[in-house]
Amino acid sequence: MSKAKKIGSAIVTTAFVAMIASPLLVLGFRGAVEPYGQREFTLFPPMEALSTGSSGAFDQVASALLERSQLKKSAISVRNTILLKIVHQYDQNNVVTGKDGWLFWKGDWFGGQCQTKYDVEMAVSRMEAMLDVAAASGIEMYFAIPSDKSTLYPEFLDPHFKKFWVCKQQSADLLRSTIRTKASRIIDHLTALQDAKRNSPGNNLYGKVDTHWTYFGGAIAFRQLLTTIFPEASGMQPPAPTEKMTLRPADLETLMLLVGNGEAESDIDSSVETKALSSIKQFDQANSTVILHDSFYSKIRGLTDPFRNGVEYTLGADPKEITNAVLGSNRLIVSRIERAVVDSALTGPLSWSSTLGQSLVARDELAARECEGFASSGKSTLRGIVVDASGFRTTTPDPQMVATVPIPATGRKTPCIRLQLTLKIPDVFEIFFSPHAGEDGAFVAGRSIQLPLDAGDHAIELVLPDYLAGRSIRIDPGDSGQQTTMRDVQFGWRSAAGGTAR
Amino acid sequence: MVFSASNFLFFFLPIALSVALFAKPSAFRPSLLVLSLVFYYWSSDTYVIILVADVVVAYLGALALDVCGSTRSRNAVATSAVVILVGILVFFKYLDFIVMNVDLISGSKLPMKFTGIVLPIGISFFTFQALSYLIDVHRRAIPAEPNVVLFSTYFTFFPHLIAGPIVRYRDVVEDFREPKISLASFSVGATRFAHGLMKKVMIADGVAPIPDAIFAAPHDSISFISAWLAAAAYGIQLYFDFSGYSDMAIGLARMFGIRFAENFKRPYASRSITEFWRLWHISLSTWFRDYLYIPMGGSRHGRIATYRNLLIVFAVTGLWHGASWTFLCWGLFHGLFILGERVATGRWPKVLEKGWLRYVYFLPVVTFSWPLFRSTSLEQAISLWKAMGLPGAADAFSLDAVSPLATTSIIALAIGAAIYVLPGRLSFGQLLTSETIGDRLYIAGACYTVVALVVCQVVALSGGYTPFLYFQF
Repeated sequence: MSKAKKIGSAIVTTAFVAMIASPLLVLGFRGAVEPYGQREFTLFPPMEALSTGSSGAFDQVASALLERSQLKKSAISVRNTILLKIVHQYDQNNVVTGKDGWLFWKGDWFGGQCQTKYDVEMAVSRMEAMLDVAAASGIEMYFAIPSDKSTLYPEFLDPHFKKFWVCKQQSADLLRSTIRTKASRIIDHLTALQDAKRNSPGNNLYGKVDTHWTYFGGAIAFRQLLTTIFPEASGMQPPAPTEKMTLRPADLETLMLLVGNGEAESDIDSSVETKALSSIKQFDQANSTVILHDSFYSKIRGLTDPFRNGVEYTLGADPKEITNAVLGSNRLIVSRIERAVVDSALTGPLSWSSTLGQSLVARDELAARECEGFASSGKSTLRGIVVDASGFRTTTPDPQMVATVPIPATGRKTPCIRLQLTLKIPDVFEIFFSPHAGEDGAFVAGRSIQLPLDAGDHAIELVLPDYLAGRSIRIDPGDSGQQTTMRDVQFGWRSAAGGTAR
Repeated sequence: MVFSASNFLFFFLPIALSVALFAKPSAFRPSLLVLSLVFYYWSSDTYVIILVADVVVAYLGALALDVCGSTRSRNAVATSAVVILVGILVFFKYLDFIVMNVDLISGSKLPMKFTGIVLPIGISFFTFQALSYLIDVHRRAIPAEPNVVLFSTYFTFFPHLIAGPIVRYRDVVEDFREPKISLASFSVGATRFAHGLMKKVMIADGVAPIPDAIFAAPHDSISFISAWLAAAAYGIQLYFDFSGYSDMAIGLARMFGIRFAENFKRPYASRSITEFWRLWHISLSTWFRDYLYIPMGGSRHGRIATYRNLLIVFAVTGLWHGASWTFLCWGLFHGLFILGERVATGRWPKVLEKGWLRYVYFLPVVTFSWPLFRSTSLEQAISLWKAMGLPGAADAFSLDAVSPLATTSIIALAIGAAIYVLPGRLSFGQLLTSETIGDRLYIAGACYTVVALVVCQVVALSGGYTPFLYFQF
């Protein structure tokens, strides 16, 4: 073997050994890095799994070790930066590139699937029902929906990744048309953001490498919320971007470990608006506002100062704290990003079984303590329910009782309902509301209040939405059938002028 | 666990190399055996029992063959062992297919259902190794190996275990007895491994989104040009995937001082399907030649018998790849063209030597066959074929199903296409690791390898893994 070949062999061998051994060697010498990319490290398997020789445990050990090596973190950083800056195309885990260096969160697109009309209508109806229940129990409630970045900036979507976002426009249109027809009280920030985008072309409303709106975009959205709550604020000078730019961390950049220092954003001058707002009387009257939000309203935390007596929680905060705050509040603002609205209302943090839903039920039950004049319901239509000595006993799955809420004989009063029931197994008790006047159809999925109940005896009193007086409700005592008995169903009244039950 | 996965590259492989290469010479084979069993267990969990069962059957069967004196008893032993090995393979790989088709043909409903059976990884490869060993011993071509550790180490050697090449005992036993471990052999192995890894992660994985998108598109929406692109891109992906894996296996073995024969030799440079099968998955085609085609009589009993034997061999070759009608038809498709080429060369002996045949005959035909290999059903393959045959259809040149192509896919496709169509039989990987290579080329190769290793480390360490296509076989 020639000298050149010997040198070549030594170089190749050294490079190969370095290639395969360096991740663990770096881990050994430098120790483990902190978790990166906004995700947890793979945990080491328990000793039992290793001692019994589970094959999955080997993989877990290897993954857990390699993830903690600085070299893996650097490799991810190098690869992603090259793909973004040079190839301009990146599709990994939850992030894809758009045009001109924009990044998008794949969660906006539901895995490339179109959302179904049934799901969207059910979700929006549920939110509308929550607004009704909140109003009945004395809370002024608002839902606010920050737009998805890809809804506001579709022009930056990369056709290479069309398979992901092909249904986005359809799903976004479906959600908005459903809100318009079924729940127009929900505050959709899209139009306000689109106006601002048109009027301030030089100012990004969303971060190029961040899922969220910029401080300016957030200010536009928040102003829409303020003017909805306080019409007096609409004439005031809106917050404006200043010349000053500040580097702020960008979540997609962080997630992808891109080489960068965050994203420069214009600062906002909201001092004039804040000063003007402070003079509005209603701020003082609304002395307890609860804001439940996700990461979008988190970003504009400072802007919510006008709610001087407000408290803010993320939707995932301690349930007890949230419930206590809702019980003691007279205004509730709930914000959820567009992409998460439907799933959240069906099974997530905007459903009846969530902390928010449970808090609203608790608040309604508190308000119902002021109800009086209960009397048994009159004629009702039963399905899967028989009347016997024990009361209304369910006999088949999906039992239903349709009853008409009486109209108060005198004055303006809010209807209440009192139910006494016994469940043999845990089930979901549900009361469907008739649509509002002028709306089509009878009972629709989602337009209801749900109470997950344990087995045993229950006495439930609820204040019903005002508009139901003289209209029908449908009581679904649970899906299981033959497991529930409603011993009594009564309607009563709460004085509309009654104090807020806090 | 695949060779391009970070858990293999950066966890198992350093440990395996350290343990085996730094072990005492007497502990080399035992340590390699343990490492290989761990590797298979890691990949296949309790199916390691199947592997061990095959080792036991092959080892004891061969010893019994050596002991048996009479031809009758030798035949009985060999037949029993082959039946057991093939029986295990059929049970795991073909039983569901057989039952399903018996049901279909007879209109009955057999009480057995085998849909839940998971195919042990690499079973087709190691079963064929066991069969070749037993048949060779039965033919007295080689003696039975008495050293159980040596035999088991050969049989379970992790570089070839789960996706080949099919390594015959007689070809490598001397290396397992006296492994030729040196800096030079390690370096050659590392170079070959790095080259194979580049083929896999940069080209096969880069091209993959093209056929993936088109094969997933609604059948009736695929245009003429998309269908040909899908078939050609899949051919490129398959070649770089499988030959890349073979390069890595050859390289790994070489690091441990074991030499594997080549499994691919620029097959797309062929001028005919006959030539293609001398250059594509060589270890499989030569296996079928030596243990099926020739024992059936090969070409010794006249034209009709030869044609029959060819069709049988290619039908079985197709089925070896998977229990489905698409693989069977793919095998028969190739068999029929080989048969046609035999007829043609009988009349015009020089016909298959023309270089231009590659472009006007071989490449279109082999490309036309890939939809059968890739499709999940005959209907899908036929619909793609229909599109491939309709250049005059409306939107025939529409690339809607796949456009716009990602930059990485375009680069990978361009490199792949160059290999696909460029003339010559030069194999870059084989050139890099040639014994007779000059100093300058050697240094250039070393530089390429270092760059490839850095690129592969970044890609493998930073990404999720994609399985090799030939794992399913």
